[in-house]
Amino acid sequence: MYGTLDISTSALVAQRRQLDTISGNIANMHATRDANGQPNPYRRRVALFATGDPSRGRGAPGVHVARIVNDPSPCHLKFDPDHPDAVMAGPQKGYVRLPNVDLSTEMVNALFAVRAYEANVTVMEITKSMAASDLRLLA
Amino acid sequence: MTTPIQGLGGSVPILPVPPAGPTPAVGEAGGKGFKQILMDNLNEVNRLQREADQKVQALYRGDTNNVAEVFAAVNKAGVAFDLLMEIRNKMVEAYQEIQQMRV
Amino acid sequence: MFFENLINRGSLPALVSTAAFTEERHRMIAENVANIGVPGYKTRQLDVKAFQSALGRALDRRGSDPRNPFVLEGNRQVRTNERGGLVVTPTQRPVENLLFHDGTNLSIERQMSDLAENAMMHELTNTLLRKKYDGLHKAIRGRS
Repeated sequence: MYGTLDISTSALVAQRRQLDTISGNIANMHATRDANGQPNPYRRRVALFATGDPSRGRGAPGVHVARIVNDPSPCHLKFDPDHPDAVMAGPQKGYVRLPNVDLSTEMVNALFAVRAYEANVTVMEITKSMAASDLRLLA
Repeated sequence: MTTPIQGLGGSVPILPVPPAGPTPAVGEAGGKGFKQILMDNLNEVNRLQREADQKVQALYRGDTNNVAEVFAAVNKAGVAFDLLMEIRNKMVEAYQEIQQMRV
Repeated sequence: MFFENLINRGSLPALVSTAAFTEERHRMIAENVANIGVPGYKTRQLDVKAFQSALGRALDRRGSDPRNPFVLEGNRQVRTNERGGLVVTPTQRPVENLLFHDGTNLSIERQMSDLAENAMMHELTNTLLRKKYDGLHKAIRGRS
């Protein structure tokens, strides 16, 4: 029974990391400069899930976030010649390069992560009640 | 003229009413004898327990889906068993009390 | 041997096997739910009907003599091992008409409903087991 709790816990941890990634994306969706102040727009980050829980040993059941990678899709372009970070020359002159984050996509992903999180919490509740019922056999 | 005592209208007596008649199993006058009563009860309880067990097996093999029926049978067998235990305990107590009587 | 004869009677081994089976199935469902959103993950399943027919066969083979062993076999998903324990091998759920873009076929609704049904079966089995064990205790002790 207790191994079963570990499986659900690994899922809670992974979904939490997914939500953190999504929150980071939403928070930075207008950031045209990086941490050093250089004009380098924020790139959307994606959490990659994989089966198994290496933190509990090889082959342990569960799920984990294998990697968090940058989304390689191109930046959004918005025409705004008065913006301090507008492109000065070339074919994109007058356009601002904004992060490749789409709010509706992030919100849908967030809803999915929350639903998965709640589903795993339900599983844990039932695991606990089954363990209690097994104990009552003895008492 | 006294009328024979009838059972309370419609209700079933818990123990079978001993008929007046042929020789009883143990030498009391006009009764079936405790031994026979006990044996009858024992067989009845055994039958109920077997029936309940059959119903449980049928449920777990997938032959039936009716859980209420299974519960009813299990409870019936349980109550019958408890009753038998109580009768047996009371009889043992009565026997021990008689044993201790100073004659 | 004497105690084994006492325990291998009637529906008791069926109840014990089912309690073990529901526990294993719960673990498998927990793994399915944990893998929501993992690309390419195919849900695993344990067929309850197949288990019930294996149970029926084991009961028939034992018959009414408690000296005969109660063994689950002839089923790819469940079997009894040498020590009398239950070993389950879940299979991958065949693709019904459900396949998402990321290659998964997991329906949260299906998993949640299986979870609830399995938990109810487990509770019922434990209740009946409790009743059986209590009955045995009562008979041994000679008082309620």
